[in-house]
Amino acid sequence: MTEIVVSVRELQTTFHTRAGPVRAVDGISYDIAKGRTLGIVGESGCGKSVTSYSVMRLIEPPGEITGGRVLLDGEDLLSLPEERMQDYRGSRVAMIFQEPMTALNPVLTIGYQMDEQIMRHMGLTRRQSRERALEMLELVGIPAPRERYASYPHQLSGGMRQRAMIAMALSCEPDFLIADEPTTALDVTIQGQILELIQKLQERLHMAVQFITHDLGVISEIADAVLVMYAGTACERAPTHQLMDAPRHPYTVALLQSIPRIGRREPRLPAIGGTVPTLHELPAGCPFQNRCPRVVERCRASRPTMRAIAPGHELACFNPVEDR
Amino acid sequence: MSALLSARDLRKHFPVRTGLLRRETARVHAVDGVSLEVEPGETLGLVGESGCGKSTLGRTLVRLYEPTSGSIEYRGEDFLALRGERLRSMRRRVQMIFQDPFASLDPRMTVGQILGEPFKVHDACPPRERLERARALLETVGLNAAYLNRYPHEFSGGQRQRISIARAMALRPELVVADEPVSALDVSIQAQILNLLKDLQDGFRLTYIFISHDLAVIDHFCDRVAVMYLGRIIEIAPKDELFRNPRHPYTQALIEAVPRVGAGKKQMQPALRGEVPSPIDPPAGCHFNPRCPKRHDGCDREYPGLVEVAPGHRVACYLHGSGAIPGAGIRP
Repeated sequence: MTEIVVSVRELQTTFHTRAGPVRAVDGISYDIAKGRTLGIVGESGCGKSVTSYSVMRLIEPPGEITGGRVLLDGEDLLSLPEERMQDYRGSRVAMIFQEPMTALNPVLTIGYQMDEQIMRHMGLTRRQSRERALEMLELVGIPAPRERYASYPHQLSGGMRQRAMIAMALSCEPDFLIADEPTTALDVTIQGQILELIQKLQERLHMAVQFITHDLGVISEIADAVLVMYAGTACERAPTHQLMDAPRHPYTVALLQSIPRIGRREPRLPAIGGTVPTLHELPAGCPFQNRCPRVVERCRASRPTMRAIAPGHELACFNPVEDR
Repeated sequence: MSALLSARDLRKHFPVRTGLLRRETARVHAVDGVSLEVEPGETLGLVGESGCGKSTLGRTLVRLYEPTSGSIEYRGEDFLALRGERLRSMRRRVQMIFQDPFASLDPRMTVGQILGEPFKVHDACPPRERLERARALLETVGLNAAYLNRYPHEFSGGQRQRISIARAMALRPELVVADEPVSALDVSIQAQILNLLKDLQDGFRLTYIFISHDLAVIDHFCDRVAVMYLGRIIEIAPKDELFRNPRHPYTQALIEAVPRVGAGKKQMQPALRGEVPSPIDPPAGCHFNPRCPKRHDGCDREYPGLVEVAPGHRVACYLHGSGAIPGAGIRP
């Protein structure tokens, strides 16, 4: 069961801005096994989306992938020729987004868009691909798939559009799915339906899934392991229950404390003071130092790197919270 | 205690106009018969999914929208009959905070001008004092007074929300309607803003109507909660009662659907199937009946009224004493 599908090593993505280069992703590493889900959490600007776009090689200037490797079954995606990568996108690696219109073309029918992709990647005829598309639309729970096949994206509700995008992304049975906040814009009852769908399809296709979200509740319920990011760097990575029950990085701890939970009674939320520094003004040393209640001398001098503290549990901190 | 604000059978319908002549062809029943009371000093939460009418209700309660029908009383006075100077003075006492601090702050004005504006519009202080007042407001919401000459785009989302809160507080309102004030913010910032709103409530003895789709935020922040579905309140109760003992099948599903931190990976089981129907043509009878796991024959005939099932806890469902299910011949 622990067959590693995806291995990201020391990924680094730089944006060349007028004010100089900034590292939006700085030395991120992780593995995802077949059929497993890695959740990546963090606040706006932490680099979780840039990580995903980098893995897909969808970074455009002024951004540039400046280091690292992305191994899919041992093959480095970052060193493939672009045409080869295009073949892989959609067939071996797929991505779904928060806003389905990122992936859907508004002037083409759902069916046409699905057919194009299926014909290209699976080498099927139009007739066969139509069969396949209808099967996928049905699988994702779209009522009246034949009608929806002929519909334009705007004719569908938000939840249905999300399902159509998922049908399209998974129509060629990728080995690896990147889900970038796929339920963030949805109502909570629809969110549950989409999460169930992703989970069901994952079981069926044995995909490795990288699930990006800012919602720790969603992560808790669907991920096997979690990577916490802050200002482009990794803070902590652990199996989900371990991260939720016994977090060690002061940022993870603070993040978990600062969210309101149903049934927890306290007049004030323990907020994290200050704001995330912009990438231009990152201090030397640990990027969290200015908001960290456990900051020590060493944090200002050098940047902590990820080290293993238990099987599957890694941490980048010089003064971690005690293990309870 | 008499209510600060009370609404009776409030409706707000929006016409849908189509065709060359822009004839009204349909109506969106955004708010469709809401009655509620807000007590001084309390925080009443309005919760529900997109399209349930919570934002429209909030805006109608402060008369940003004129209601289609119904009545609103503020301190026993007919709010809808107010005109001219009396209305202006009422507007000082009732303020609103919006979700999107990017859209609600004029990008061409400095923070000092933005915060001075309410004093100017309402002629609330001599012009030379405006800047001083603006400075004090900034400090009240935890921002450095040195920011007075900066423009909104120079601030982060959390700071911008602080600025819009400061503007809402300028004229010392009694009632503030906060429409998803933390939904666009990161969690660490969300906690800061919720704490700030609590502090201001304590400091200025504010009454809040707090609109959110996030049940955890509602549970944390509110005293009482009204759950809305397709333009109506389907359940209203003190928050402990609502979260511990939800009666309406929709409220139960909504609470059930919230992903829990630390729950551990599980087989996802959606709490509800189907989607919210269109408010243009809501289902007959109880609007929730097509999605309801506990529906009976007859739930689709007449809309169930709100019935008190425990002190302060009212629910609109035939399972909970809203009368006999029409035509079913049984009393639940």
